[in-house]
Amino acid sequence: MKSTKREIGLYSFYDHTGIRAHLEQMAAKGWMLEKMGNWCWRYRRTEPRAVRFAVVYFPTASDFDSSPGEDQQTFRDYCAAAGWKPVASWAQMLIFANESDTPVPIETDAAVQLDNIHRAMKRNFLPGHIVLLALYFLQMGMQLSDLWKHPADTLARPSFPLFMLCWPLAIAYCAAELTSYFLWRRRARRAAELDGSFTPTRGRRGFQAAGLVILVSLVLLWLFSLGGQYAAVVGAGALLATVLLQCSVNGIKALMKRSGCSTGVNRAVTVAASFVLAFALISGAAYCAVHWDEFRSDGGTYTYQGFTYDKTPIDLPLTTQDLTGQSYEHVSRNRSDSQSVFLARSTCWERVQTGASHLSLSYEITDIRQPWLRDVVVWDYLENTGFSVRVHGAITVAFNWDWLPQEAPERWGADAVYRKCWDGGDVRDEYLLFFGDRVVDLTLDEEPTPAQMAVIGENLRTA
Amino acid sequence: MAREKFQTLTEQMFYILLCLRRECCGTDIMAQVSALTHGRVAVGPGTLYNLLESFLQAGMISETRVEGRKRSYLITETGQRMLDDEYRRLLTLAADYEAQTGRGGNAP
Repeated sequence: MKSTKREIGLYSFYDHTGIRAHLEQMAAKGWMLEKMGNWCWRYRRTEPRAVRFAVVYFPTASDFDSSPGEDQQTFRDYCAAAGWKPVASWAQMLIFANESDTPVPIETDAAVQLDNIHRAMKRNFLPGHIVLLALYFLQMGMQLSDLWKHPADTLARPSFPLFMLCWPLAIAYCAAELTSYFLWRRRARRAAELDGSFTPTRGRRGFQAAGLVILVSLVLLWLFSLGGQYAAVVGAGALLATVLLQCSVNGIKALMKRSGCSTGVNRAVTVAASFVLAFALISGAAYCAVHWDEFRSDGGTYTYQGFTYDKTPIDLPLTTQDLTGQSYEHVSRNRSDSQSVFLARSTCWERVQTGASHLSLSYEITDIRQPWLRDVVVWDYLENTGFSVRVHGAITVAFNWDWLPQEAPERWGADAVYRKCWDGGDVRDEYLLFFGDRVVDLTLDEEPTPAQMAVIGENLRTA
Repeated sequence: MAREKFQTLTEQMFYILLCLRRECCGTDIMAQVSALTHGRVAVGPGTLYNLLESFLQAGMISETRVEGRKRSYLITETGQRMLDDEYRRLLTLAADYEAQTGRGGNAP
């Protein structure tokens, strides 16, 4: 029979009524609270018995305290004199237990209790939630800004639909938590002023549980939406690294608490460690992203005359060999696929060596999976043509181009074909091909012949 | 509108100050209030701690002795004046009641 039990603490920080009732139920079942944390609460098995719990707030306490300060110790002495024994603490929240039938409550003045709770909330819950809310709004704003500026690129991101679901949910959750606290506080303050009565908090365990289920579901959806075995592994690795980072930071904090470091030193070291570890995590992730192709190639590349080529090139829908009819000894190819419920996109690139020079070919195939998005995507390709770059942070240089309609698109087997023309009139060998709900952005080294146009159309129309 | 701090005293504030007319340590106040009111008024340890801190900050009591973590307090002139004011306020309330109802003392 196991002697300890852990559970996820599904209560808001200020929900003293809900926490107290839950701890009393657990004690009646034979589980006495032993330790509390942000997520996990630990119980030890005892004889089932009726125990009164009190959830009180000591605003000057900190999660970085190695032991109760002198003031808190005095407070505990008062509680001990009334029969209340400390059981656990979590930041500014202190839990006491009392086994007598009718103990004097720790808090007998509603206004004083309310003031304490609010001071504790101002040190912990409120700033945290307000910062989170601001970050969620910022993230959603960035996503919407991307969607506004580059709809096709944004809609093709596998994570975009998920994030557009995730951020509003996160905002709603945070706003609901803050709103429910302030509504409770307003009711409690009125009651305390009117007749000095206490106002219980409304336990919203179901809401918290629903939030947790949604969070886990979103994380799983995100992993599945990444598409492809490697991407999912990278996503899972990133998640694992994040959890490890959190555990490491908690471990450092706990270690410093055990070694008796002062609150200030513990806070400074833990915060510094958080930054260092987060920086290491982000740097590691960036390194992996930059060297992703090398990891995936399993050493399947070689260098020839200063360029890297594939020992066994991957298949592509259209290759230089398809266009020229020649085979090449040294070939390097790359393909990346991404898809969302809105768009599916494949980006292909090839370089071959021909004599002393190279030929390159690149194209981006975008399939519109939702017909109602067609106009937006077409507009993005044909009209949203330009970008600007700030040089040395002062001068803004704008680059604009037009797509010139090409005659006889049937030569490509396409509905319409456009050719890129920079603002100054410089015509490039970059083409936009429309095949039904498919758009292909193709870049060649030179203008294709009619025969090559036919091959391009045949290979890319249904690839 | 929020009641101004210490403009009037709650029962618990009143009895804590009353107990502190004699030097007394924090842990003894709870028992003294209970004895003084025959169990009618109970001051919880959390409330007591916070009220003592507030009284100290407001200059209504002073710390007279510290033995380890055991601290003793005594009411100050300011605190005594506030206690007196509260007593007079309660007397006024009682007098108004008697004048309006014609009943006084322990009459029902």
